[in-house]
Parts: sequence; structure tokens; C-alpha cells
Amino acid sequence: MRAIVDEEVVDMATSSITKTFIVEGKEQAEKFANAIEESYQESLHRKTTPDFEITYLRGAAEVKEFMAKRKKANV
Amino acid sequence: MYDGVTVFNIREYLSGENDVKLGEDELRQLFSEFFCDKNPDVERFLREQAIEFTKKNQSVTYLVFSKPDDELIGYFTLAVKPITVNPKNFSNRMKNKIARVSEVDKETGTYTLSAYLIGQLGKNFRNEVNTKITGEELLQTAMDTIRELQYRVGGMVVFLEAECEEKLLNFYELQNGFKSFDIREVKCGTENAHCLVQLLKVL
Repeated sequence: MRAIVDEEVVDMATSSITKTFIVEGKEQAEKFANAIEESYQESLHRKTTPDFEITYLRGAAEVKEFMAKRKKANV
Repeated sequence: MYDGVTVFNIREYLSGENDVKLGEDELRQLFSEFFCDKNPDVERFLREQAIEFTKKNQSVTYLVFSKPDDELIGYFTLAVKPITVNPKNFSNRMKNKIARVSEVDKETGTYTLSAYLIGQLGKNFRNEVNTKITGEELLQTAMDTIRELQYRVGGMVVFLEAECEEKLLNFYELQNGFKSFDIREVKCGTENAHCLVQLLKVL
């Protein structure tokens, strides 16, 4: 699969969603463990809330209301 | 970005199948607003696979709209995937590291953790609405959604697979704190053979 990052077009994994992920072997397992540790340490000091507001619509009624407002604005 | 984004899970549309203003046909109509001529696969996934994958619970796609004008500016697709680590001769130090996010299966000696996969991330290039959100903001939106899921069902790791290209790896690693942990070969032995870098981030 692919990701678009800003103006660039870049491939992501075609089969990521259907793939089974197994990390095997000492070297790869150590690399995985080190990545976990490094990211874990960073997570202790990381800001987790985005700088912008995210509104989640929940339930068909909210989506319907949003789409109706959107449609009206575009008429 | 203007004033933030509005996000919803496409299940909300699919659950309104009996509603004349929602349902699959209406959702496909909404998808027709998404264009990505630079990358047909991103567009194709949304138009041809997102609904089926969601129906089969293989993944779930979220649509992202700008505020205040409510333009469809992008989407992302998430899935929950187990990652199994099958170590041989793992030192206690390594066991401690991996135990932060998983439990060992004492019968098999393997470690398994539930992780969130970002399977798709795409901006809409129709009428230049892509300028209303950066790649980083779209990724942050996906991460925020994952944190909501984490609160409800647990999990500590998010991961993705990306093409081995410097600019993209800089985006994930330097700008967004992902760590590479493996490389996967795809379509080996064909002219389309290439490698994907697997990257993770602890939530």
C-alpha cells in the first residue's frame, strides 16, 4: 500500500493488512527489542496531544448531520 | 491547517444501510471526491477495498475532513495485528526490554504483542485540498485515533511498513519518532521486487 506524505508519493506495504508479522532470529529479535526500548524511553517524555483540534463523529446520526451541513454549504 | 479536522469511521456510513442518506452507495459517492493521480494505489484502496476490508474486520478506514469547510482532505486505515517475536538465546536484558510491551508464552518461548498497524495514509489531491493538511498532521490524526483505541482495548505499539526511501524514512524516524526494526522483501524474484522497512512506535 502507499502513503502520501506532503507532495511526495511513497510506497507502503502492499500486503501489510493481510500479513502475519513474526520477528525471528536473535539479531532481528534484538533489533526489535532495542527499538521497543528506545521508543518506550522517548514515550515517557513525549507530548501526545496534537496541536490542532480533532472532532470525532460517533454514530450514524452525527455523521448524517455533518454530511447534511456539508451538502448544504456546497449547494 | 485551519481550525482542525473532523474524523469518522466509515462504519458509521455502513451501519446506516437502511438510511437513504447513508449506506454503501452514498459512501462510494463520497469516495469519488478523493483523487490521487500521483499514486493510483492510494485511490484504488479507498474506492475498491476499504469497504470490503472494513466489512470483513480486516481493517477500518477513517475519513478526515478540514474545518471549517468540511472538505475531504485525507484518510487512514488501521488494523490490529499481533506481532510475534521468536527469539533464540535471548539475554535477560533483551527479555526485560521486550517484556515492557508483551508477555512470554512459556510453552513456546515466544513473545506476542497486540499492535496497531497503519495500513494506509493518504491525502486528497482533488482541487488542491491536500494543502489543507500536512503529512505530519494526517499522521498525528491517525495516532490520536489509535490512542483512543488504546484507551478502550489496550495495546502499546503502533507500526507500519514503508518503502526504503530516505525522505520517507526521515519523515517517520526523524520527524515522528518511529524506530525501524526489520526489513521485509516483497515480490522476491520479480521485476517489482523491493524492500519495505518496518517501523514501530511505543504509544
